[in-house]
Amino acid sequence: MLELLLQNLVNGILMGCVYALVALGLALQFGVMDIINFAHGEFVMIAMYLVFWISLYLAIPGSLTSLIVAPIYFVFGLVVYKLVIDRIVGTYPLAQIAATIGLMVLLRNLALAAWRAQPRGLQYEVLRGSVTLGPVVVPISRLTAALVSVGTMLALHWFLTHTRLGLALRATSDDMQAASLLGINVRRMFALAFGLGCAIIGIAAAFIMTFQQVNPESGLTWGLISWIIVVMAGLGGVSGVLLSGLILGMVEALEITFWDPRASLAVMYSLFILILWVKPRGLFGRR
Amino acid sequence: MRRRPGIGRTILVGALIVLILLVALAAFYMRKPAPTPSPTPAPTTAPPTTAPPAPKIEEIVIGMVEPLSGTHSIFGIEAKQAAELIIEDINAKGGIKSLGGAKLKLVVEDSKDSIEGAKLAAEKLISQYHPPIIIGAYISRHTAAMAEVTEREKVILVADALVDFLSEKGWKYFFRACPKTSIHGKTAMDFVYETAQRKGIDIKTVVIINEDSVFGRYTALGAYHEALGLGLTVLDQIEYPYDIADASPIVSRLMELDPDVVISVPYFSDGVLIATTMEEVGYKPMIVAGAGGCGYCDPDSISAAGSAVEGFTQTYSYNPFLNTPYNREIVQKFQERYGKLPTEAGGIIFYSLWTIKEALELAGQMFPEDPLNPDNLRQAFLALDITSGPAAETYPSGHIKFGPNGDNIYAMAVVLQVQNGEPVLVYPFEYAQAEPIFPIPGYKP
Amino acid sequence: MRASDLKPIVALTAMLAALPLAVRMNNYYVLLLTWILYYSTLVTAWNVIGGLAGQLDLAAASYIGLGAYTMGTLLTRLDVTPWVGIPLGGLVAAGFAALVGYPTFRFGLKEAWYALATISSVVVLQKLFLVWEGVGGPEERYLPARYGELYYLRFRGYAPYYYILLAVLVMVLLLNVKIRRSKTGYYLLAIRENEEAAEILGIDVRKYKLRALLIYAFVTGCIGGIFALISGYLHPHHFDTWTSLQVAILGIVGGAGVGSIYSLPATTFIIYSISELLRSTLGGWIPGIHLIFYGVILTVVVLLKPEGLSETYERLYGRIRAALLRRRAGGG
Repeated sequence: MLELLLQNLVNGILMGCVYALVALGLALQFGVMDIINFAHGEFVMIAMYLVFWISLYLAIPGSLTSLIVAPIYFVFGLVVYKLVIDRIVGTYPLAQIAATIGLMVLLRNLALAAWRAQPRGLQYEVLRGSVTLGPVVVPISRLTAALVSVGTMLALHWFLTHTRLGLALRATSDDMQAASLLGINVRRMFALAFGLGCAIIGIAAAFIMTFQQVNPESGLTWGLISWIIVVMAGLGGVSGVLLSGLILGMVEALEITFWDPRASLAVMYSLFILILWVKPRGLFGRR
Repeated sequence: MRRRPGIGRTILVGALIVLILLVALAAFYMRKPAPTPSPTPAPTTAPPTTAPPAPKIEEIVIGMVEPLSGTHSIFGIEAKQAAELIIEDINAKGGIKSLGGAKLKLVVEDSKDSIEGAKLAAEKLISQYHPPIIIGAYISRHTAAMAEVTEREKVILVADALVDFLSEKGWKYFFRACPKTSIHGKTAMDFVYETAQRKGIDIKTVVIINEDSVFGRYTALGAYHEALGLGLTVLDQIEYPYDIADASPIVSRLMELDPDVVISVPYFSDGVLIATTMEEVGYKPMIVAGAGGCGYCDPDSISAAGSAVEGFTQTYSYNPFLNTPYNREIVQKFQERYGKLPTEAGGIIFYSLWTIKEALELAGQMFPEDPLNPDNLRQAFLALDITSGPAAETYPSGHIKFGPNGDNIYAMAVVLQVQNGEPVLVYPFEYAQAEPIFPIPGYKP
Repeated sequence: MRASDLKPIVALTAMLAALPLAVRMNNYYVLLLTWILYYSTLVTAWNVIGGLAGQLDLAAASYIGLGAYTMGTLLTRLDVTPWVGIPLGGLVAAGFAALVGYPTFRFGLKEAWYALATISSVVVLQKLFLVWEGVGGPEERYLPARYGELYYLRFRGYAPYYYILLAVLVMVLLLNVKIRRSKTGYYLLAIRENEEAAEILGIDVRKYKLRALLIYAFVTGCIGGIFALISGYLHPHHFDTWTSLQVAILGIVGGAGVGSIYSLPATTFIIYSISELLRSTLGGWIPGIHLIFYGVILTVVVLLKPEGLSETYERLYGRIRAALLRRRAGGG
């Protein structure tokens, strides 16, 4: 029993890191622009398809495609920003939510029309096998994904705290008007934040694909998980997102092991409502 | 309707509630007694001899409703492809000969993957094309929604949905050639048990894992009852959502239980997820036997999961490797046109449409004056006993005959196993292409 | 309520009541009209929360499902007539709405959290009802097939449901007009325009938002009961996120809360018809074409005409009227 508990805590932690990485892009966009992208899950789904096709045609392992998908997705983010987000920043909230919902419906069904509902999984993957640490078995694909997640988060954290651009981003996030008075081009910061958020999605998607498959409907799951993490983290920076991801991952793993696997989403959702109820600024919010 | 000052909102609401209750009460006392199922009168066997000669039938519309959008569209799209191929083939081979070579015309409607859409599609087909026969809708609850329409309009419904209860509703115009879910579950269990006996290996414990839809549940129940009947111990039955993000917690539960046999009812990609997770953590039971039509042995799953599904088995309602002339021909045609092997969804359509063709032929012989009358057509379906021809050559047991509830009496599912990266038929033993591998590679006692 | 408010409702009712006769009770068209009316009632009810209160509620399917399960469970287990079960379903839905709404309507909390909480609630209720074998479970639960009896409200054709929904639509329209003219309506409008200002003026923002939500949830729960009667069974898939999204999309595109309330049924009629046309003509070649259409129209309308289409209809109506008058003047 103890072994099972230990094994699943580890499973949960590894998955939690991945969840945190998936949510990180959303958290960054939310932090800087104060916009919740409802199409986030669909962005993840499209990125997973990109990973699949690139890996198939270039015959390279899925994990390596992150190097290609992340820049593509950065540009994709800029384009979406210019076409849609730029027009709704600062308008009334209903329009913001509605526009991204439109995007969500559109992307999901374009994917269906283009690639049909057939689930796609990577064929070439070097990340197979597992390492055994005492009583715990750790699959290498999950371990790599978790390590990359933490690495990406550290890199982002360093970027936000040690570079001029990063500091400008943070300033925009803290006080848009003051930042604009200081000569920061707020619009450009928004575009940067959106592009960066998407690039992170690109990285996350590549590593999810090392152990998951994608179909046009898979966006909803990833969207839901990301929203919950962002609510939990509040405006708590990178560490808040990581901690929230870990909590979510462990709650899920333990729930599946010791109760009913079918109810895991329900448990996570109750957590979501509970946090909104008692700590509406998130568990790790600074404001 | 300016509100008079005397009547308050409370009174208005109160009056409304009282009114509703009064209507309800009145309705309660006006209820008819519960309808008792009246025995259907025996059909009058003597056909009216003075009937005028029926007009020549040029074209017969076959309606088809499938989920072409939404989660299940992967099945609906393949079913549609298969149907187009078969209809062409039937027409190319001379149509319905007993009806003067009448051609079949296929009209396909999208069920939008919803009850709402399935009903709309059925109503549209019936009111615009008047098809004598509709085939569909892959998902049991959509099929049930459609059956309400087809029963009312007296249209024959040929189902390609597997869940058991569809044939238990007492529907009159309902036929199903494919094996139902409980047969799939039973076949998976029987296969494992008989293979173990052949190999002289003792199996005692079983864990059943299934995705959480009604389809998964019924298939799992079929396996469960069979396991109990065979004297095996079912340690646990785990249900999980098919879109599960990570299978590690489920696999670690399996490792903790450590059964001899895992019977699994996957939806689609969850099967691959479970197989790769098992491979990664290096856990294999004696066998993972899939039940229920898709999962471990589909070409897509094998290419996605690679060596992880080696030795895994899966039951199917259709066997693409069935070695009959017609099956070889149609599989080749399908592959040429669509670039893939036909699987469950397409295969069911192959034999279901050919069964429809045979029924129409028979109706033309039995009731030349009015072959498309729903009751005549129903008689023809019930009189069918197909043991040869394309329908039999694509059906696993090679025999289709409908019982009074509309199910095929000789329904059979087959078991494929992944051997060296290829799906091969291993059960029933008399049709098998290869000896089953048991226990599967990677099993450590 | 003024007489001028009632005139269009009477006209609309008369027109809608005649429609099934105009299509000569053809089952397909009547069913199509029934679904259009079903969404029209949902969207018009949604106007109370989405339009008047300005909260993007995506939980329509939650309330529908709860209403359906309450009505259906009472009917199948205790033989309680839908006449009683439907309003009870509405109450259950309202109770659930309060549970989600109370924490998320806290002053100053972002609108987006409410939208997220509501759409997630649909997924979660679906899972919970799947697990709750006593009432839900993966198996369909069929309602008694006792057709044509007033006690069971089950009919073989669709026309009876069409007229039931028409009655509901009229009630919901009246309700909308009434709320708009009431104190609650003015407060809601103030909250929508500027929540902080409203709070400073001493309006209890949470209370009024909750009031709007409860009304909306109750009505939607009732419609859910009717939905179950039409579909004939209960299944966790009655909690369907797409229904929620569709209602919100139709509401936003129709210009909920901005223009005339009649723009909502009109939009539903137009968009649902186009989407059905797309489904039945192109759906075989391009799967999901009707859904792509929804996505495109929502994005385009929000970006180019964020106030919705209601004004466009009014201008169109004005122009047609002017043309008719001119012709009459010219002819006479």
